[in-house]
Amino acid sequence: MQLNKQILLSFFIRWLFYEVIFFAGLAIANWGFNLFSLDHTLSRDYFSLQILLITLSLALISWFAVNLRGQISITLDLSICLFIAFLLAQAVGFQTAFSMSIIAATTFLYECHPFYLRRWAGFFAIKYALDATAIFLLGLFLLWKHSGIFSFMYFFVFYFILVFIRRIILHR
Amino acid sequence: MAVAAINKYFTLIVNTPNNLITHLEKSPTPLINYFITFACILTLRNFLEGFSHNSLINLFFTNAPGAFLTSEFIHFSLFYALVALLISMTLHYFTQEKIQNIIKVVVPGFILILCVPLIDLAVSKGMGHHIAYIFPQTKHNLLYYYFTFFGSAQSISCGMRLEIFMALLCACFYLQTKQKNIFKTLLGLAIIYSSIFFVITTPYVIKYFVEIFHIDIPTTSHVFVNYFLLLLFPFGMGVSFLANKQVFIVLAKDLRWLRLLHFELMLVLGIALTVKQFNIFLLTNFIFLSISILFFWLSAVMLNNIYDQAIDRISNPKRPLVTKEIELKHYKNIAITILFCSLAYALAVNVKSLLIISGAIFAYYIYSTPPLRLKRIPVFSKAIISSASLAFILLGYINVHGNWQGFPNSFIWIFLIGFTLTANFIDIKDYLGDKAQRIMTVPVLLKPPLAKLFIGSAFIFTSLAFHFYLQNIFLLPLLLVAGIFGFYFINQKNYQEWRVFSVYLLTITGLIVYLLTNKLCN
Repeated sequence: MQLNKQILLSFFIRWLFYEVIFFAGLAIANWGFNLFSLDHTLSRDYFSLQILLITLSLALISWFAVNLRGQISITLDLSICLFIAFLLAQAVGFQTAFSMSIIAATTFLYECHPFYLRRWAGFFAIKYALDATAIFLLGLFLLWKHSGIFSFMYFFVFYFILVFIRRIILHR
Repeated sequence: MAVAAINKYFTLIVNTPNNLITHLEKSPTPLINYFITFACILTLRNFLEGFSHNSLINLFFTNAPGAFLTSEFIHFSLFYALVALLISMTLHYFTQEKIQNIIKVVVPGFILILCVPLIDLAVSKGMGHHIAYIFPQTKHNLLYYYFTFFGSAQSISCGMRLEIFMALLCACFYLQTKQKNIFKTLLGLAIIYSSIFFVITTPYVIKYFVEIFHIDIPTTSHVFVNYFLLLLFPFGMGVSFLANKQVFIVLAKDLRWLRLLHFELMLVLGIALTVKQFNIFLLTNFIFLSISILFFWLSAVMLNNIYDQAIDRISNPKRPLVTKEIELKHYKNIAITILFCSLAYALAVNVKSLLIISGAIFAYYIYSTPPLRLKRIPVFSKAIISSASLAFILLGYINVHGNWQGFPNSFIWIFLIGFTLTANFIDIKDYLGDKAQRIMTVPVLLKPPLAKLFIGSAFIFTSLAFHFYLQNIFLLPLLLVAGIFGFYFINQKNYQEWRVFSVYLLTITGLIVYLLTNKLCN
């Protein structure tokens, strides 16, 4: 694992990005609760613990993602980092671990061979669209264990277009 | 001018598959990356399929039980793993290309499976499609689906058909690039299509199986997982053999079959202690546990070899790491993979089995490796082996009985004391190496003649101790004869370990046969 200013900055930006998306999901779920006057029985302490575990897991996943860049494959220290992230996520539930695995999967395909998708423009958008969708859904359903209200595809397409446009603008 | 341009594009189109295949095959990317890539693609497929297959996303992101979700996830992953193995083996058979090179082409090709949910969503204008197997309840027979490219099967979506068609097209390019024989290419394609069809019609196979055994099994994820794991074992072995024949044979030769047989018999003994009738679930559990024990033992042997190189140079110069038939780094990677396989097959049975197998793995780890390396300490070293043996008896017992209540206490004492003392015979052949490395085994401490007397006597007493459980006076002479034979072979001048093992294994087999006939006939 490397540690320098560039990596730390990269790590914090990524972590912040995931956190913002996660809390956006939570906030929309909360808004939905108020809108539809739904009742939920989650205790505040238990809920805080879940959020703490997810935050830590997201931090570890971000660290993994930042450090995987430039590596040939997953090194031992990175696999330990990933394992702990999954362990913390699994403590919340399978759904959380599944979301983390999506981030890990997109990161590996993006940073490592045989695909090394970083080579091609456009895959940046797809990668972050998938990551954001997974984390957003996690935030949404962590609070709202009720499905069928939101159409996930709209969020995915909307986000994909947004990031893709941003990428094209940045390239120019 | 125009002809030249057409020629140029034609050459480009013809050469592209060849160039792409060569590029993928010659890539210096380590093979492990391809396995991780495969896992990543499967994860993303499961995620994307959730958008198309609404009930699936509900499962993943609502409060469905974790065990059920894990089972679903594993089920889908094993499905694709089997398809990948079948395609790889077919391509190898028709092209005779190295299986590693084929894997380097087939695994990236699996990126195609990500298109299915996206195509389904596009075609259905956002409604999605419920992808499933072809079930026996459908109105047409299998031949109709086979010859009409799944015909009117509702569960096979447009995306899936396109995915299979694309896969066949890629396979066609590959086969034609590697061998320019159109008949072989067509035959290869027919086999690949049949393999995919075979996997998609899994419920039919399960139905036939159910009809043969006259049992009622609900087609749950757990059943599919068991079915795929069962098929993956021979195909996985086949691919491993093709990947590196020399390494496969070296590992198989080094397996120490008699000791493996001992652990497998411990499992059967545990089952024999409590079984009242056989059924299909017991059979599949037994197969998975046997495979798990096989992998456990192979990993234990490999771990021992890694840390015993200095001793083996004196006592066992034919071991793979001493002869340098396998590179140490490669050997370690294989050991880790095998360990993972052992845990996976144990988990396929239940969590209790996973815990027991993990316990045995940990026990063997502290037995072989520093800092503890308990094999250096006379009593502890064999206590580890007897504990592992006892654990496997318990494993068989628990999987039939449900819990460990009623487990005969006499067995605990026989194994913890009798077996611990008797098992020292395995150190007799390593006397010189252990002495040179100052490992305090019983033969090193007592010197071989006295040690042989001591171990031989322990063999007789342990054999007789089974009388405490059997409580059958007619069997006592047989146990005594087995003990005497063991004593004789241990104290022979020309000591051969396999002779002692044979007596021991025959005794245990006799015991199992007696228990089974006694329990099943009553």
